[in-house]
Amino acid sequence: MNDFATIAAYVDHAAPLMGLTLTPEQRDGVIRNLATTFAVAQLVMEFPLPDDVDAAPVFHP
Amino acid sequence: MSDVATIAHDVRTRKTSAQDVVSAALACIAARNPAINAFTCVLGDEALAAATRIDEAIAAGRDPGPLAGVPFAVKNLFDVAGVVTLAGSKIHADRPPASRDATAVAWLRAAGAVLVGALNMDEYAYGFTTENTHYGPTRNPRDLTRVAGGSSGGSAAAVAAGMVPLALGSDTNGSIRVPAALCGVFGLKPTYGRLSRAGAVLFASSFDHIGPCARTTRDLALAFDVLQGPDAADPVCTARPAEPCAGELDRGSAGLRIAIADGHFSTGGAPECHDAVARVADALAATRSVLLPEAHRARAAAFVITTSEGAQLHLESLRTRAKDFDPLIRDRFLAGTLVPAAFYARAQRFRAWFRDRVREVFRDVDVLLAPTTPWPAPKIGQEMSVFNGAEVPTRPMMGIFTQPLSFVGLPVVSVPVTRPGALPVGVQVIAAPWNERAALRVAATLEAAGIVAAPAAELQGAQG
Repeated sequence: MNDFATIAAYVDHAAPLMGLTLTPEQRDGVIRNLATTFAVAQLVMEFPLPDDVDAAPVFHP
Repeated sequence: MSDVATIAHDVRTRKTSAQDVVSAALACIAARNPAINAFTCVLGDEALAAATRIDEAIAAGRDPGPLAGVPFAVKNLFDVAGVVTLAGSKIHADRPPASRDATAVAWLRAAGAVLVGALNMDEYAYGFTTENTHYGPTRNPRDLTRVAGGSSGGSAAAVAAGMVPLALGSDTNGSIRVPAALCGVFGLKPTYGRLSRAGAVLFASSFDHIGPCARTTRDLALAFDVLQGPDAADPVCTARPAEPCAGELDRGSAGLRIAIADGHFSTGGAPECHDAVARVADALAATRSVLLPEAHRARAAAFVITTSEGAQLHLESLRTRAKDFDPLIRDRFLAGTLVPAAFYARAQRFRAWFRDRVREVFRDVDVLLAPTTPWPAPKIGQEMSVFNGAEVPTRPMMGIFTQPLSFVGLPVVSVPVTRPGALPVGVQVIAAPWNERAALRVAATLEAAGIVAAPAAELQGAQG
């Protein structure tokens, strides 16, 4: 799923939506870095986290 | 340059003057900084004027503060009134000067310390090496061909070179501890929320901490004590009362349960980094090992949160002037704008899970030991290094042992293990949340035993 071509297609579609205009050099770097992020994130996403574990943001209304 | 405790004592008792101390620091900076490139700004006239005011206060019988006449410098992401806050960037150089000091700068000055300048860093703190393309790399005072570490590389290098006895840095994933280890000085990353970050340019607020680098444990504690206290200007800063540490150091490590961090922290990288942990453990008679479960996933979650928060912070600049970012950093920030929100939210929930496991571990131990970095200082420009037999990118891997700990805000002192004739390596002395005292007591014990020390570096050909 997270092959390079898929990441590249995602970058090509998502970057303009975020208002980013990438030069060819930047595009290559972004694809490389995002591929790393997807691989790293897999370590978090595959971990079975109980539904009742809530995040702990510091927010005091 | 003497240490913080000695300078403050000598200035307060008029054995020397703040003006003489600050003049000596400025002369040392003038002599040594060209080779090291730690300072991006030296505030000579302002520092001498501040020193004069300290001397006048003492002459008039007023209390000049506990850090009277102590020269210090700050990573250039701290606001200094009248100075442009660069945060290592070219983009921020276009901004007007800060109108007021960051809280930490103001409190150190109020304690009598004298600000002498601002220090180099990785752009927007997103790096572990201070190879800043805009302002040049900061060179390691122990070996000028090597990196100082980062992102607070200027801070650790300025202290290691003896240019100042005290410097402030910030640490999101290891940015105080990594350069402290590579430059062979002491660095304290306190508990998340312990010290005010107000007036410091944030990077990833979920993990951003500030803290000091110094050449002794006592100096770390003296600075830390001045910096403690609530500050409404930083919503993360705790309302807990300050817990002074300097008076606790002589208690030694007696009664503290100390263990070695196993698993993720016990393999990979250069053997000397793990040997240093063993030496420290021996000196403390620590034989137990304990596991922080899923620490590799903690590092992964820290990575995801950091890139997402950092990219969001700089999104406007990424849209309009991406070419003005440091090429070493730019594409990571750009990629960070595209991270799916589900990754970020899950990583935040994992953080709570991991915190609960860490709390369980600290029911049975008071202090954990782990290497600070996987290697001693790499060469400037070194792209790849060996980790567990595989070639890996050097720069992001520098934080492999520090990231899981800042992820849950644990207080850590990185102590410089003495290795005569060899590059320094650091060991993390890790305590339970809010227990900086325990980490500092252990660091002081190791220092008294001669296991750790931070002598000023000898620079070839440098004077002063």
